[in-house]
Amino acid sequence: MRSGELAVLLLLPIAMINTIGFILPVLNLARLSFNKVSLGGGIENVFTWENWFGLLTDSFYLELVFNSVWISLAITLTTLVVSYPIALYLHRSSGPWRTFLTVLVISPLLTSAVVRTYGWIAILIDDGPVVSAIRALGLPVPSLMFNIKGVFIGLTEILMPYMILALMAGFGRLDPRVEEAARTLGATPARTFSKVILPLTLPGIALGCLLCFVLAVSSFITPKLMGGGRVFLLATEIYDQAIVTLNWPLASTLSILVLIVFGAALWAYSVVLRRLD
Amino acid sequence: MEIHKTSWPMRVLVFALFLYLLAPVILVFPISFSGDQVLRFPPTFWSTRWYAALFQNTKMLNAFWTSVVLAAVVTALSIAIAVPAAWAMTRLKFAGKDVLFNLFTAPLLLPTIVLGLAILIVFASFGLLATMQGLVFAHLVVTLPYALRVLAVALSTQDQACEEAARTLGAKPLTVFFRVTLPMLMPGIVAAAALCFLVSFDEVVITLFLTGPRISTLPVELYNYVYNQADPLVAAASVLMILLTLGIIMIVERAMGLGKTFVK
Amino acid sequence: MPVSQSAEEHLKLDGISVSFGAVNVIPSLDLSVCKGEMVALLGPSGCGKTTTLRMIAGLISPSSGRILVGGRNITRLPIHDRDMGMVFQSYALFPHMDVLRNVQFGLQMRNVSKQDIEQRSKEALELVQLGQLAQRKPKELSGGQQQRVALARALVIQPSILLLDEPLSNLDAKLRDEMRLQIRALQQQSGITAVFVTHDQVEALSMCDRVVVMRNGRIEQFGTPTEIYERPATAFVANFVGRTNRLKGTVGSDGRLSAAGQPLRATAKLLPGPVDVLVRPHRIALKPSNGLAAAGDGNVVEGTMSGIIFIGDLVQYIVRAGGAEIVVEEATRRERPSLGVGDKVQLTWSPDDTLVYPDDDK
Repeated sequence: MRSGELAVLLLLPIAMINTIGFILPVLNLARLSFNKVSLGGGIENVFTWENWFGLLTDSFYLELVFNSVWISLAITLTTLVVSYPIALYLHRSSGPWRTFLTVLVISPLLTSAVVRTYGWIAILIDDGPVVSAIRALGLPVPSLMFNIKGVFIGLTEILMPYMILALMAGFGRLDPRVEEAARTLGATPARTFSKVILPLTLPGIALGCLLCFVLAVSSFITPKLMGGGRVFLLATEIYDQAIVTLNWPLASTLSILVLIVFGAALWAYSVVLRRLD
Repeated sequence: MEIHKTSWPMRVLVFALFLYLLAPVILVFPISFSGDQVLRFPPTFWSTRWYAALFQNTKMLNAFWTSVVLAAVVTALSIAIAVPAAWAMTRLKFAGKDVLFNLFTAPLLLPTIVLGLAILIVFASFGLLATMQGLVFAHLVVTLPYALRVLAVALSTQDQACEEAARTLGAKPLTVFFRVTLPMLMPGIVAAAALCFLVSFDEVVITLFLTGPRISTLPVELYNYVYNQADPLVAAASVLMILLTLGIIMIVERAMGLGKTFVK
Repeated sequence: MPVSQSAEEHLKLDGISVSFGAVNVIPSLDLSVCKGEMVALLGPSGCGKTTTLRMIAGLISPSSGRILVGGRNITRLPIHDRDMGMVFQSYALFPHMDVLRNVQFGLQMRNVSKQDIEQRSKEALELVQLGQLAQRKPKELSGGQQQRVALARALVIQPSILLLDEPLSNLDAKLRDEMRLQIRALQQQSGITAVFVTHDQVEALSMCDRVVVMRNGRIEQFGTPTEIYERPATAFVANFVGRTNRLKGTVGSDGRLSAAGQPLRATAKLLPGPVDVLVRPHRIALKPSNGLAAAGDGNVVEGTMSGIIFIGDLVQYIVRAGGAEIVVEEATRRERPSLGVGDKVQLTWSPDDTLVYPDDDK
């Protein structure tokens, strides 16, 4: 048997699953975004820009897209700020201590998003530990659940491990001797950070931000469970349109829109990377 | 290295951030032993009533067994399909290899909400919704890219001189594969299997589109439960899920060392 | 020990060429190895020596040409039927098998009876003095021990040819000296034909009956170690094997050679034109200049000492003469001649040690 024939044989099963479970469904999704729902509830196989046109003129959907992108950006930046110190600390530690901390960082990744979201509900509910603590301090009591605040807090934590791992991968370029050199040349710790550490870690920051933004835009479990039906984001709307309203053409259109946002994020990332080189 | 000594404020900050990162996972443990009727922290008294309630909840138990069987079947199929594919990718010469590899791992790049919807629409016309076959197939779409990637890396970093040595010693191609390549790949297979099992066992978004009253998995049942009422029953189930995950990781750790598997 | 001329030819490469894609790694190669002899393929990295070895093993197919073993054409024979014993640079021991199973692997592939497998594998391990480590896994062995397992694994199948790919390059210097002797002893005991790839001239010269010096996929010279060292066929061989002084010189139309501003004599036949004159540093005698022209038919060059470097076993004198720098090496003695920098010195060497090559502009 020639090498090419053998390759075809060995790759046939994975190619079949990839085609039926990935390529066809995604192409079908793109096609469906140009179909429409008939009066009887079925899908009419006609070519129409109706979904796209409706989406781009309806203020509800425009706001939805706008909100999703802004909230995702804000969450990404917050995640970066809270992850950076951990990543830097991990990068500087060594031996078993470092291994232990790395395992701690990875362990939430291996825990279901449902479980972690549930944990946040327990922390943030009205009589929960956080609200009680704030009340004990005599401060005005905020409502943290079933609104965007809770989603923000929960999602930031859920994305942290990804950001930390991406940052650490980028910190590979950070040789401790470079820092030492900067210090011996008379730089203060603050200037060493802003002039040496931060510029060297920018590629890691860019990668982490791309990853977290993409995950935030498409996040579903946390907004759905912590938003209490009051937080509308792209992903939750796709699910509602597909399962509740059964408007598959509209759900498809929103999905393709998510992919377009992804493409834009990737493009921005490549521009940033080119600048950094 | 004096200047790398972390200052105290920095240590306190890192500790606080770690607390934030781990709080939700840590908290489910005490909550699962709550004696309260509703979710409250700290609980007013302790009991194991929610574990008892969990083991009497046939819906949850059924979902748990569905998840275990599903994850086991998906893992076995993933390895059986990905090992030959990874071998072909790393040992054979053919055109378009990079394109194919990117295509086969592309499902990882797609948001699960989009992939879930896309699969839902296609499976609806095949009558695969709320069936075990449908779930297995959908999970394979996401586990195969992980398996292929882990196994391809393992195969390409393997010392190929060992295979050459076996051939010069008189082993035919199939013998080389089964007596040298496959045994040497064992740590990679264990890692890939653990990863596939965890991904399948934890998968919720895609599964949410494909399950129904007839068949459901544990994460989906938990999601539905939390969506309706967030009482400590979920904490008990969460603790069991975390323990199962830990158990799998420890098996992998035994087989090869955690560092090598997950920290790459 | 050179093999006598009447020895039977065992391995023959006939008009072999190898291309990787558009790159022609080996343009055309002919080589003939006699039964029971050990031949080194020596050259810098990228010279095609490893490619040649892998081709004999069957791991690479030649684009054209024939490989013959004992007169039989094996060019198209699959690897597993070739009956070659190969020792790899990385040893390539099977990490999941213990030492004994590693050694038995080749025998199992050959459908040898169980008893024979037991006995022959034990003997092979005894031969390399590893009988007591049979149950160890490769990673529990030192580099030298792994090397010996690899050797036992290749020899136990009694292959028609033993192929060694830089087998000593991963060992430290002391162990390397030891293993050189051991590999050579094993090869001679079993009388097996062996091809040994190395970039280390010491290994090639000290272990092998004959040496092939390769460059850019071509054979520069094929000869006994003494021939290679004493009568290098090209300037490349002279430079690659041993140390040399290289002087720019010319041969006049009258056939007279001059370099470093002095007339010189050489035994080789000379063609007019620019030439490279090569002299090995330790073949030059050095003494304080007495201002008299030396008698005899040796080459004599007057110069000034410009540097003395003490290396331990050797001392190097650097002498400027006629615009050139000539290095002279002497074994160190307790009483060193009282020569200093700036002293006038006289260098003498025999015309037999004067190697002359057409200038190849490199």
